[in-house]
Parts: sequence; C-alpha cells; structure tokens
Amino acid sequence: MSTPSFPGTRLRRNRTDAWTRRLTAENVLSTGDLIWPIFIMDGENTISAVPSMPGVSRVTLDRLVGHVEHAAKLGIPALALFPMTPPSLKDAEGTEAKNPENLICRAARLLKREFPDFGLVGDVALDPYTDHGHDGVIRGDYVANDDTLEILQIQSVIQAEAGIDIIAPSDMMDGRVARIRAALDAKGLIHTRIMSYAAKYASAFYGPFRDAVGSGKALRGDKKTYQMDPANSDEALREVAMDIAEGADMVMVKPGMPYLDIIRRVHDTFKVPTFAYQVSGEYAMIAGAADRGWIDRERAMMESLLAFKRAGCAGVLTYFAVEAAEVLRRG
Amino acid sequence: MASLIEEEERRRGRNMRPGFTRPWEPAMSAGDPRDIDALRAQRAEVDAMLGFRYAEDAHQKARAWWRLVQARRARSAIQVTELPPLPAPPPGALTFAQKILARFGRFRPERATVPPYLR
Repeated sequence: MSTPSFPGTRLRRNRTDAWTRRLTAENVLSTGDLIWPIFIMDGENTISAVPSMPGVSRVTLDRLVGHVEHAAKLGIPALALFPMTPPSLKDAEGTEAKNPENLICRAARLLKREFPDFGLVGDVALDPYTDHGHDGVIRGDYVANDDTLEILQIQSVIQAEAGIDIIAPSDMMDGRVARIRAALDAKGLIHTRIMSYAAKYASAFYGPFRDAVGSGKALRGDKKTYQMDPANSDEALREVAMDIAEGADMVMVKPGMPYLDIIRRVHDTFKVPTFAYQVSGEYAMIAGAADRGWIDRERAMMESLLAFKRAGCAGVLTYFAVEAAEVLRRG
Repeated sequence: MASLIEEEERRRGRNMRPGFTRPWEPAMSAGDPRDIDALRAQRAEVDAMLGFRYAEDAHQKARAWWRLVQARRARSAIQVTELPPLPAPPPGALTFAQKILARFGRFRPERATVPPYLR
C-alpha cells in the first residue's frame, strides 16, 4: 500500500459531514448483534436492583414476561439467563443444576411459550449452584474436571429440553463441549447450538455479576486452575481450536474490552462466529462513571459496543442491550 | 444417554433419603428441609399463577385458578407467614352456590371444593 501524502490526501475530508461518516463507516452495530443477559430469582412479584450494576435488576418468574417484553419489541434476538439460586438449594455437588424444575428451566419454558421467536442462551456451569462457588465439583482441594463433565451433560440436556436454544458452557472444564454435544445428540437435540465460553479469563471484572447471582461471598479461593491466565494469548487459540473440534457452533471471549486482541486473533484464525461478553465489571465501570457525570453514558456505551464489532465479533452479550437497542432505533 | 439421570440416580442411590426419587434431592438436604419445602411450595404456586395468568380461554382460566387455589392450600400448610392475596375468581370458576357465598363475603377458596365441571 502506497503511503498517501498531504496535501493531496486529506483524511479529514471524509469526516466532514455526518452522511460521509456514515457512508464510509467500516463497522456497524445493529440490534441483531445484541444478546441481553438477565438475572432470575425465586420469589413473587419482585424486581430488585443489583447495587453494583446500576440499572440492572433481578426478577422473579412472575415478572419475567413483562420484564423482557420491551426487549422483544425492540428486536433483540436473544436472552441469556442466569439464576440466583437460594442458598438452601446450594450444595457441594451443585445438584440443583440437574433439577428440571430449577429456575433456568422454568424460565425457559415460560419464555418459549410467550416469546417463541426469542433465542434463549442457557448458562451451563455449576457456580450458581455450589455452596463453594466453584464451577465444578471439588475432590480434595481440586476442581475435578471429569466428575464435573457428567453433571454438565445432564444440566445441558435438561436445559435444552426446557427450551434453551443455545447451550453456553462457561465452566472452562476440558472436554466439556464434546461431552455436551454427545449428550444432546443422544437425546435427539441436534438443533441445540453450543456457544462455548472458549477463552474465559480468570478476571477481576466479574465481581458485580457474582453479587447479582449471589455467588461472590460463597466463593472460596479463586478460579485460576481452570479459567485462563490474563497473560496468555496463544493459549486462547488452543482453547478455541479444541472447542471447535469438539462441536462448538460459536465461541466466546470473556471478558470483552480488556481482551479485544484475543477476539481479533480468534476471528482471524478460525472465521467462526465469535462473541464477546461485556461483563459486569465493564458495565459497572461505564455505568458508575456516567452516574458521577465523568463520562457520557450513551456515547461510551455505543463506542464500547462498536469496539467489539471492529475487533471481529458477530455479537455481544451486554447488559446495555436494551438501552443500546433503543438508541439504535432512534437512529 | 437415554438414561443419564437414571444412571446418576443408581450411582448415588445409596445416599438418597427415603421418599426422594431424584438425585438432586438428597443433596438439597444440606439446607434446612423446611426452607426447601417452603421454597418448593412457593415455586409450585408461582407456576400455578403463571398458568392462570397466561391461560388461553375462559375455561382454562377457571381451571388454572383452582389449581392456584390448591397450590396456595399446600403452601399455607407449610408457610405460616402472611401470603399475598390470590386473584379474584374468573368468570365461570365458581358454582352458583359459591357465587352466593362470595357475594356475602363468606366464600373461602382454601376450604371450597373444585366444581365438578372444572376437575
């Protein structure tokens, strides 16, 4: 590529008017790129705020339909469901994860009945259900990979049978995508997709999420023996390669903004639908700074979401989904 | 694969409490059984409430209302705290006699029987 030179070339020309800026935009964010994560809880007639995530709420099932109706009208394609499991149902083995009457399954049945066109993403991992807060079962002092896989298979099957369209294993156990795919196929659930949290880092940005699902205080130790080291990039490609080979239909990088380089590498290397999770800590940073008047909430939100598209994402899981869709509708 | 849950049940069967039939039940005993029973009763009532709210026609709605009444009855037996009021019976849910009682404020759904045509 020859180097353009001034004054023959003035790159500012194309930035002169709004219409040329639109015309020459290399990336565009649309409502179809958004997945909205929502928190569900037991109880009745309650919508409770998550203090560390201003603007985000947990809802009981009887308020769920009303809660998501607006998102459906805006054309958001999919919801990701996360349960806040009552402490009395948590145990060391995360057995509530296998209960076909657990919060996720009941919510999925309800949402599929009321909004059959909504895509539903089901989180598969044990941390919302274990009293120790880890994503798998513990043997000795180690999160046991292979014992956890058996539970994840059952969890995936019951979620898919309840109406979940996309199984999203977020546990980072080795070999889970292959085992889940086999379990789904054996049940004839061949159209259930798998979006693997392929490159999920042991990150400090998950704190507010753990408040929202009530797993933060319960967590003993950290997750560094199964989630990725933030120092690593090549390892992410190996993780993604394995998940694709095992049957993942889409892959995800989590968190999002601090790992845009990983998204770019994954997208360029594999050319598979790649998603980012703009996690709770990222959301809280923008929302918190905006609440204090330090940044413009709407502009920072839209800029952060566009950054994911620029990095190569097919879509983004974001707590801003509804707000962003409203902005996009306004134009 | 068809029997993943059954396999799990068999494998863990020796640890299961009598009367429970699913593998997640014994582990739930880690919590206070009364809390768990109350939670289950609440979940059953919420499901019944949703069935009532989204019933498609008048007959279904009337039947769903009685299911809700039954769920409340079961829940009241476990939970002593004050519970939110149930929705009013929809048209067609009460017999003529029940309607008369309701008009005079004497109808108690928790003690009433389901009309035969809604069973």
